[in-house]
Amino acid sequence: MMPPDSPPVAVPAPDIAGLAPSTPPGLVALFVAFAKMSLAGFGGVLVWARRGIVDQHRWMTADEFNETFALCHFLPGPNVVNLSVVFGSRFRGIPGGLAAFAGLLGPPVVIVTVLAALYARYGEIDALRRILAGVSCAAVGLLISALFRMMMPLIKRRDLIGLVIMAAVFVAIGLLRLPLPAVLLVATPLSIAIAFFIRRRATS
Amino acid sequence: MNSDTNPILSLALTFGVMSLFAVGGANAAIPEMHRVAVDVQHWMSDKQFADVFAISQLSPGPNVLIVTLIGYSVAGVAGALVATLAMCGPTAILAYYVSRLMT
Repeated sequence: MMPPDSPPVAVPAPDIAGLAPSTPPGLVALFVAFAKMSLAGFGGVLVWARRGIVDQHRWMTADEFNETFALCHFLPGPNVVNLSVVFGSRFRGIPGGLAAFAGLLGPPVVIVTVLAALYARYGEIDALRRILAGVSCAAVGLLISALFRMMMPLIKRRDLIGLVIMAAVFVAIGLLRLPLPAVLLVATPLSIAIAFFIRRRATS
Repeated sequence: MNSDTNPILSLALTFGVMSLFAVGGANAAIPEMHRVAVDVQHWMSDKQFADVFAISQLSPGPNVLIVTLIGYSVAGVAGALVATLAMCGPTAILAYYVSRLMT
């Protein structure tokens, strides 16, 4: 259950640097490859996407993959979904993007929909209730551990302003329950402005 | 917004907008999903949301598929499909154009 947000450098995959990509994949190959990565990825697909694209198929070098992922991470929305579209379209244009998108989402959506139907029907059974309660505890624990991994750099750098902004966003979203768009529209320009002023004061 | 009248439309609107604000991936949008699904739209209870989160983590595929489960509980299979496409489509199109600009 790796969080999809962890930076690709943290992925412990063997890097085979400098290898040129093999033949560019066709539409069917794109669909199948992304379907496989997606179905292998319990609780996050990124690790498998990297393994499939870089190590197994050699469609991209590790550096190319990191660059592509950085772009998809920076953009809003589910990172791996963005990655599938950007990757597929780079090789086969819009049809390629669609094939990768459909491969990534199609098969798991079918599975999840079946699970949803089972849950709607049997969700009140006591044994299932307890199993799900246990799993959600584990999932929340994983989420918290991912959070600490992302927070540690701020603490290690003693980045006081970063920590203050983080705390403020937590209060706004977690305690005051303000809408995400409103919080982002205030916090993002504010933190960019603060970073800008600090940098200017440091250089002058 | 007359979101009470058509659940499919309100799913599409909700997740379509959320998708463009989901900076940092699907897990970062979980609190917002909870706020909208439980507090604002009353699509599900706190407990159901925790269950759905657990199921989404248990199943294969990207974690964003929690929206598929939310969509299903609101409007069945159609809701599941609409929620998934609304959450993934807009940013996928955005990512396509941005990546083309950059290469």
